[in-house]
Amino acid sequence: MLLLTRASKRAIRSEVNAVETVKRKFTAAELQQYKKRSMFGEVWRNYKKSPSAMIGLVVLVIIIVVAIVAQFIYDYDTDIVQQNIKERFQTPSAEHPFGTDQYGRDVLTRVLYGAKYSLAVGIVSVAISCVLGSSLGLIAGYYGGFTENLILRVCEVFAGIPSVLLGIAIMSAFGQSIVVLMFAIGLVYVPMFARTARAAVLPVRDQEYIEAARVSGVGDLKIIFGHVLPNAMSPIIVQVTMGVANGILTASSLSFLGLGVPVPAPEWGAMLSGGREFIRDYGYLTLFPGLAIMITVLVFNLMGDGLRDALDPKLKQ
Amino acid sequence: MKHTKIIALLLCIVMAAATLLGCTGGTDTPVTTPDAGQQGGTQTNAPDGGSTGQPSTGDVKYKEEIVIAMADEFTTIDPMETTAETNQIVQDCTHDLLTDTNLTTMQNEGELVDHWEMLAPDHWRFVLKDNVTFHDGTILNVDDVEFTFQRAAEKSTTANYMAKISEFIKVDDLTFEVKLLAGDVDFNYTMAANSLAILSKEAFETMPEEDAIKIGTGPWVFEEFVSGDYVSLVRFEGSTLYPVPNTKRLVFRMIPEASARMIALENGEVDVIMTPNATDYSRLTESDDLQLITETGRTQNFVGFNLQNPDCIVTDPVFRQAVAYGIDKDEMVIAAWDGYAQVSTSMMCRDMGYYADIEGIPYDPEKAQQLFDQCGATGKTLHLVTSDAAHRTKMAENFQAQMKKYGITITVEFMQNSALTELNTSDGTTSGVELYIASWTPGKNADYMFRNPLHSTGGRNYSHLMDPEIDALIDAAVAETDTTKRAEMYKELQERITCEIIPWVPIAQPTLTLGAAKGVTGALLHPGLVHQFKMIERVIED
Amino acid sequence: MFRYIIKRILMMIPVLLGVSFVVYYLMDLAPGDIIAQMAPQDATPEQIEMMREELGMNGSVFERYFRYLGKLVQGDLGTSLSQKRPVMELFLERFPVTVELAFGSILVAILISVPLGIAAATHHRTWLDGTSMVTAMLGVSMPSFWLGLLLIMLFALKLGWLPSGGREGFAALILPALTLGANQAGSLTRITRSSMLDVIRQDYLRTARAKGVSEKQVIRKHALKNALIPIITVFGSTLGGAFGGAIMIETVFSWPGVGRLTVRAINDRDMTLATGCIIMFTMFMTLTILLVDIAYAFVDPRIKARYSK
Repeated sequence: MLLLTRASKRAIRSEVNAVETVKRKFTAAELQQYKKRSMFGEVWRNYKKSPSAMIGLVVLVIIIVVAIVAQFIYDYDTDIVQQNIKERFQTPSAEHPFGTDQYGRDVLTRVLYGAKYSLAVGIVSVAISCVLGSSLGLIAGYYGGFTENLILRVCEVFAGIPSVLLGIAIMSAFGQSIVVLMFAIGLVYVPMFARTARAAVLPVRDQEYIEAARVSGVGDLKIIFGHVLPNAMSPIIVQVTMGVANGILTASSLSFLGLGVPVPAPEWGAMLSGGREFIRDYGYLTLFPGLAIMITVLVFNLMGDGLRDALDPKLKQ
Repeated sequence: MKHTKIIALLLCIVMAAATLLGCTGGTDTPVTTPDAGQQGGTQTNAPDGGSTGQPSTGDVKYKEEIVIAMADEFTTIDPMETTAETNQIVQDCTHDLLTDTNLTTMQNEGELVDHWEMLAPDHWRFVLKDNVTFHDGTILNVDDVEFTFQRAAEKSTTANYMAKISEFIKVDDLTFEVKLLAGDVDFNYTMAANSLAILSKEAFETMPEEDAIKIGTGPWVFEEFVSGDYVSLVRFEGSTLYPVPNTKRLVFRMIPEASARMIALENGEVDVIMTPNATDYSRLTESDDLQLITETGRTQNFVGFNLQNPDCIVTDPVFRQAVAYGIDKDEMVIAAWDGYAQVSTSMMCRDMGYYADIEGIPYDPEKAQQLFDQCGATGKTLHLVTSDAAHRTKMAENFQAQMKKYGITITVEFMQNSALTELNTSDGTTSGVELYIASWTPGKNADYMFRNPLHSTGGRNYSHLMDPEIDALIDAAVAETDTTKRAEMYKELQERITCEIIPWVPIAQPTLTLGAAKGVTGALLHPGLVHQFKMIERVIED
Repeated sequence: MFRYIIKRILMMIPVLLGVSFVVYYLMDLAPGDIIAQMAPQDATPEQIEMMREELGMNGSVFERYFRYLGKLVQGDLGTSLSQKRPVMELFLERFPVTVELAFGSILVAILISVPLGIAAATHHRTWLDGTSMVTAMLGVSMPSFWLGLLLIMLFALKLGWLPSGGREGFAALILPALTLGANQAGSLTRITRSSMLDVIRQDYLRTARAKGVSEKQVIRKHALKNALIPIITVFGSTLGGAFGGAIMIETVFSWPGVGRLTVRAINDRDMTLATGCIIMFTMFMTLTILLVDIAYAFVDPRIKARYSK
């Protein structure tokens, strides 16, 4: 009950603020800045309370650091491309903690070096779907009518096709490269963001302060991004975190089917797919990249969970 | 209220299940065989544990059912609708050709034809074997051949074979002559095309097409096909052409994963597996219960260059030579085939007629580096395209690693096989292809080895080799009747192509393999991958 | 209510048409030509053109699409280019196999998630709750195909208890269903837990406790039934998720379902088969979700009232 009142008080406060800002002719940027600061503090305070979310954050930072450091300590040409057929299939040892693969390459090196591919694909693809999807969702929610109907139907088309199949079809159509992979996954998750953004806009669309802004001659774009978007931020942020997790999983699925990042890039899904043939005698070839994917995805899921609770205390139980 | 909610749960599960399953109404029941004369229903349904032997001549007992695990999906029994090896392997058991390659001697021999005669290069006479029975009980005669040819002329897969024929003349019930539009001294090979399996005219007149197409003269009768799962055959008891197989039922099961096929073999679920993983070869040879059946393959795998690319170093012969010197083929054979392939020194396949054992270009890294430096390739980045087939991706990845040693960066692009074919057969000056990895499996004679992939008019001239001298030599060789002279010409072709022009660097011919349980005999590996299981059997101990 | 169902079904039509166009167009963009691939190695261009006409694949992509569409609206999905059999027939042959896997996995998911979710809720904020939640999270975070490989390694290779693939008997269903089910169980556990927590705090349960009913009885007799309701509501999306996930699982376990058929069709550039399968797939998923909604509304007057508006 207490939480509820706090939340609703905050909602009222933000509405009042918004209306006042319009009256005082504050710029949208200023308004956003103000709201962000206060919101961020509260969210962080809530987020810190969850140990699992904090573990997620710490591990993510470690993964990012590893991904960056790996770029400096390993040389792409000698450590990733170069093969050493004489040393193939060495089981984990002090020299090769994760063993060597079918070409005699060190698996640990490849797993560490590969972190950047999964992170990059996950983050960039979600950025694409977030920007595209949220914009479509905001436009749909804000304008309503025919525009909304059209956008929703188009989203339904893309949401209707199972994501792996849509991914395969896009990769087949535009060829295999990391950029196409990012766009393919980005496109797959556009409907999700569109729906989230639209759902967040609907309750505020007919609010008086939006009406006020419109009457006082503020442009549609300014209203959407200055006044409507901030209200949709919480669910979108949660969606982004979860989206990165899903994006990494989908990317690894596509790589596993042989449609991901081209060789010899040590993308984890591709490593899994390559090691699968030798699963019987050299199971470690599939074990380590799989663990890497799982940990990374888990981290984003933990953070997403924590963020959801932090952003929306009502839901917390 | 609480109860209604439980009802809701049940209701929605039932309704969902009903929609999902209901409309499929019995389509999952297996396709039934047409009533094929003497083929009894009891036999097809007879459950057998797979281990019960059937008494035969002497004391030897044979397993009643043999299961063969295939990697690809069988899709159709109609020979004229497919060129896929998986389909042709099954069709080879049920249908026969006029002539076929004898896999033991590798010679073209009559299968349904008793003998033939070339009256003139454009006039051939064939005499069918006497008293050959179809699965429906009818006897093969010239009308069936004529009917098959007529059907073939209307089917796109086979129309080009029929386009050679200007006239079909029925002499008597077993003898026919064909007149050709142009002379073809190898016309008997045309009749060995798997798509031209002889069908029963009467079956097509009395049965619906989908049933009639199953009627052939082979030692096996089509039984049932469950899409994506298996296709089964039963032995043809009434055959007059073949001895009745000792095996009663033959099942081709589709198991796409090589490791899954291996486990199925070890668990006794299947008797034969196609293309086992190279990592399982030792397991097969060392086991007391299993065996590895091998045969040298006739597929040349190579790294090719697009000779028509206007702005790429691959058109420089020095560069191509450098690549030829620079590839450690032994290493690539380990990387791509775990050592189970024969390194190629010539561009021609080893087991073909007119193969000359030339020395080719040996592996010489110093020489390669020197040549690379000489043509200014060091430090350059080149693009290689290939298909997503497993051994090709491995070849590409290894090639990339090997070239890196010389300071050359190779970027690799994988595409689906038909996309690669399309790209490689499009205009070489604009296709943008620099390097590619492909393979060539010549079907029949020596001419086939050269004409299609290296003649300027060849259908699969991926390197876009436009050399009038080579063209002339290929044309002259095929017209040469003196075998010694012909052999010299083919040797010259091999040497010039392998060492001078170098449109490709030949890498290796992978070994063909089958895994089988001990006691399995009669599985013949076909260099063109249409393996033969007509007389497969498995002796079992008491 | 009836009008609402009709409206929902009518709304499916433009979506399905959109799906058909998107897939058909993507397949056309994809380099690689199935006709050239199917033709014999020494085929002439004329012969290839003849094959194209025979299979109705001549003309621009729009011409071909509209020809395809013309048949589609009559319920004809055309003939598979690679297999030369009606697409509908091929789909319906393989679909029950996928349904078997999907329902098997949902059963597994329910068997895992309901006890886990209840345990978590009844032991709220204890180690049991934490462990359950982490387990659930792991289920969602694991790449399903990797879990499949691990299970194959353990149960098929090391222990030899279960087959590693194929569709021979009930034993063959266990590993694929377990793999796919583990994935589904993650979200179901969370839903069970939160709805259970909700129910536990309801007044009537407090009344029951006050009347002296034991805690076990309260959970079993009263809480459980109501807590399961949300699971019904997500049944549609769970099934959808199972179908989507089945695509990867079928590849890992050589399961001859419609997912593998579709992946193969896309790789073969068999546009009629790929488009047809995806349309059917989408339609079944949408219909299932609709059916679940209707079934639920049918017995709950509150929801029914909402739809009638």
